[in-house]
Amino acid sequence: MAFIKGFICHWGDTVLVQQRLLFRSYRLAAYRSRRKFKTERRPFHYVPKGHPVLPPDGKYTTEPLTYIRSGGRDLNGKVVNAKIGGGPKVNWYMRDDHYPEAEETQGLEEKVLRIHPDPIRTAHLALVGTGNHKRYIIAHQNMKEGDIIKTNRDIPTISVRAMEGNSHPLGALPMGTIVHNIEKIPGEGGRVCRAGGASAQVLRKVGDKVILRLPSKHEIALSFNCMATVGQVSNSGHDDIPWKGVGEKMSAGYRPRTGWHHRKTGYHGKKIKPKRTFIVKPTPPKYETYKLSGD
Amino acid sequence: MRITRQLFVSRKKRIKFLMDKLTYKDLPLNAPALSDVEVVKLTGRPEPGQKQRKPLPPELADDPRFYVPPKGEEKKNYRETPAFLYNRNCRFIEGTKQACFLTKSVRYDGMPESVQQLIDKFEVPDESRLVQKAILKSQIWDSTREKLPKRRDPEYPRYKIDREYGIPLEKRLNMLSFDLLRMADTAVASQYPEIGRSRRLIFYPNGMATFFKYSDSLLSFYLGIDAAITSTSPLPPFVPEELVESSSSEAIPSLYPISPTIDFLKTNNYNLKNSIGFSEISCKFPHTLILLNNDDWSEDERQARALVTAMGLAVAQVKKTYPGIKDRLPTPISVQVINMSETTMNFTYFQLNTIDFDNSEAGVKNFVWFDTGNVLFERRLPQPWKRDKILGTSLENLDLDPFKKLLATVGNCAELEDSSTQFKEKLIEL
Repeated sequence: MAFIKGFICHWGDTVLVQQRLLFRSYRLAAYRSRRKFKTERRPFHYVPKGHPVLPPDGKYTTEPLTYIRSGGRDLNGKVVNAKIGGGPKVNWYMRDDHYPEAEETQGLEEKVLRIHPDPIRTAHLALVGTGNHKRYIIAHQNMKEGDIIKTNRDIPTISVRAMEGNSHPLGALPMGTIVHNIEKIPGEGGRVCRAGGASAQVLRKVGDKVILRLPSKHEIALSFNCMATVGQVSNSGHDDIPWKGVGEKMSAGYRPRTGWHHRKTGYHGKKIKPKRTFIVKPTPPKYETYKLSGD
Repeated sequence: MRITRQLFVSRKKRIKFLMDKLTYKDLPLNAPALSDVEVVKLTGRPEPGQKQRKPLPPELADDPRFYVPPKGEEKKNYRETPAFLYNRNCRFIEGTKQACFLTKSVRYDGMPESVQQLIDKFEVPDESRLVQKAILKSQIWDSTREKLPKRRDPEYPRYKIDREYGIPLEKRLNMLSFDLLRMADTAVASQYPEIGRSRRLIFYPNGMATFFKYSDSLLSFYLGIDAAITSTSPLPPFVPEELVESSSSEAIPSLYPISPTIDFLKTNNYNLKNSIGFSEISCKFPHTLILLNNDDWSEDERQARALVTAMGLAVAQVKKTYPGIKDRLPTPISVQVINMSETTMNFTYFQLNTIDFDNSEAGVKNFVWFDTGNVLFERRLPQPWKRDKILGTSLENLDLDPFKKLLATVGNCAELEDSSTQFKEKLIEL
C-alpha cells in the first residue's frame, strides 16, 4: 500500500514527509493523480475571447476601455482552445442593454447623436442622450443621426402603433411586429436578439403571456411586462461576406486548427490504391426548335 | 484559483511559491507605525548549525508602497451639492448649436462689417516671402528630431508605415502662430505707434475662471488660453444699439431632449473662483484671445470651444465691474478669438449683452460671428504604397487671405488706444 503523509504549511513553516516507494501500486496511484493536472481541450464556447477592464467605480461610462484577449487560455494559464489567439488591439464600449425608467403615459424621449461600428461586436453602436446623461445602445437597421426614440412602460387595452426604434412592453405590441433586445425577466435587461441582423416576431397572446418566434425558430412564452425594442438589429449581412483566406482570419484573432486529437479519415495519409476512372458519356446533340404560329 | 502539483514539488519550491503569493492583505491589521519601530540591520553570516529563512515583508502601517488615496468624500473640495465643470477638453457633441444655446446668442456667418473694412488697411512689406519663411521655419528648417506618433492612413489602414522622426506638433504650432502674431503686431504698430504702451501680449496666461447658476444647477468654468492681447481701452460693440434691442424678437434653435450641460463633468469636488487672469491695474480689458488647436477635433467643435472661452472671460469681467447685475448690461462687452491649427485659422467675434442665460426665448440676446475654414496651406503626407516620386511631406497651395484677416482682427480699434490722449484726460481729472 502506498501512502503519502500530508503537510502543514503556514507562514513559512513547512512540515513534509515524503516517502519514495518503488512498487507497482504506488506508480499506478501516482500516474492517476498526475493525470488530473493534464490539459483537457474544450469546445469553442468554453473560453471567451477576452474580457474588458471595468472601471473601479462600477459606474457607467461612455469612454472606451481596454480589452484583454484570452489567447485560448483558461484560469489556470494553460491552452484550452488552440483556435483562439492574436488579433488587433480594440476598444471595448460599455453598452447599456437595460431599459430606463419612464414616466407614466408620457414616456422618455432620447435623441440619437452618433452611430459607428463596434470593433468587437457584430451590431453597430448608437450614442443616445437625454438631459445630462449619455449612453450607448444597439442601433437598429434604419437608424439615422437626429432621430428621436421613445420608451414607454404602459400597457393599454388597444395595441400601440409600433414605430422603429421605440421600446414598449410586449403586452402593448400588436401581433406580427419585429422586435429585438428582449427581456426574459422584467427589469433584468435585454438578453435575446442582440447580434447583427437578428430579430424576433410576436405571434400571438395567450392569457397572461406573449409567444415569440426566435431566430432559431424556437417559440418562447414571456410575460406581458418584458420590454423590447421594435425593429431589426443593424449590420444584417455580416455573415454573407466570406473570408478571403487564412491571413485575414489570423489577423482577426482565429488560429488554424491543430492536427492533435482529430479524427482521421481515409482522406489523410499516403494514397496506395489507384484513382477510380470515370467514363465520360458524350453529350446529346442540341436540336433547334421552331414554334409555328396558328396562322 | 491556480492548480499546481503541490504534492510533487520540493520543499524549497513550495516555500518560494508561498512567499510569492503574499500580498499586503496578509499583513496584520494592528501594526505599529514607522516611528515606533527601530530599524536594525542584520550583518554577519549565520552560524553553520542554523539555517536562515527569508525575511518576511515589514509590518508597518505607513508603508508608502501600500498607500490608498482618500475617496472623494474625504477630500477638502467636497461639497454636498454637485456642480458641472467645464474644461478645455470638453468636447461639445452638437458643436456650435449647443454653444449658442448655452450662451443665448444669435449666430451669423462671416466677419462683422466693422472688421471687414480693415482687411486691406494694414500691410506687411514682402508679405508672401515672410509668411513662407515662417512656415518653412516651423516645418522643415528646425533642427529638432523626435519620435513622432504612429500614423495610420484611412485610405489603406492595414499598411504599416515606417516610424517617422521630426518636429512635434506642439512646437510647429507655437512657432508658426507666434511668428504670424509678431508680424501682425509690427504691421499695426507701423501706422499706430502708440500701441507699444497701450497694449500687452501675454503668453500662457492662467487663472481664468467663472461660475454662475443655470436652471437650478451650478456651472464653473476653468478656461485655458495660449495667448492674449489686452489693452487699456475696451473694444466698442460690433453692432449699434438698435439691432441689440430688436434681437429680443429673434429665436434660437433648441435642442429638445438634450441640455447644453451634457458634456460637462458632474462632481461633488470643486472650487468656485472668479478671476480674469491678467492684471487689473494696466491693460485690464481683453482684446483678442488666441487658442492653439493641439487636438484632432472638427472645426465645429473648435469654434464652440472658442465661443465658451470668450463668454467665460466676458462674464468674469462683468462680475467685477457690475457686481450685482442680473439682466441687461448698460454697455455691451465684445471679445475676439482666433483659433489656430497647423494649416487652418478660425475667427469668432462675440458680443455680450445680457447675463440672463436661463430664458432662451425672452429678452435681449448676444451676438456671435463665425468665420471658419481659412486654409493657409495644405500639408500632404507621404503614401509609400503609391510609389510617387515625392517621398516626404509636401506643402502646397499657399493662400494669403487668412493672414489679411488676422491683420484686420489684431488691428481692430487701434486708433482708439492713443495713449497720449488718455494721459491728458487723466491730468485734467487730477
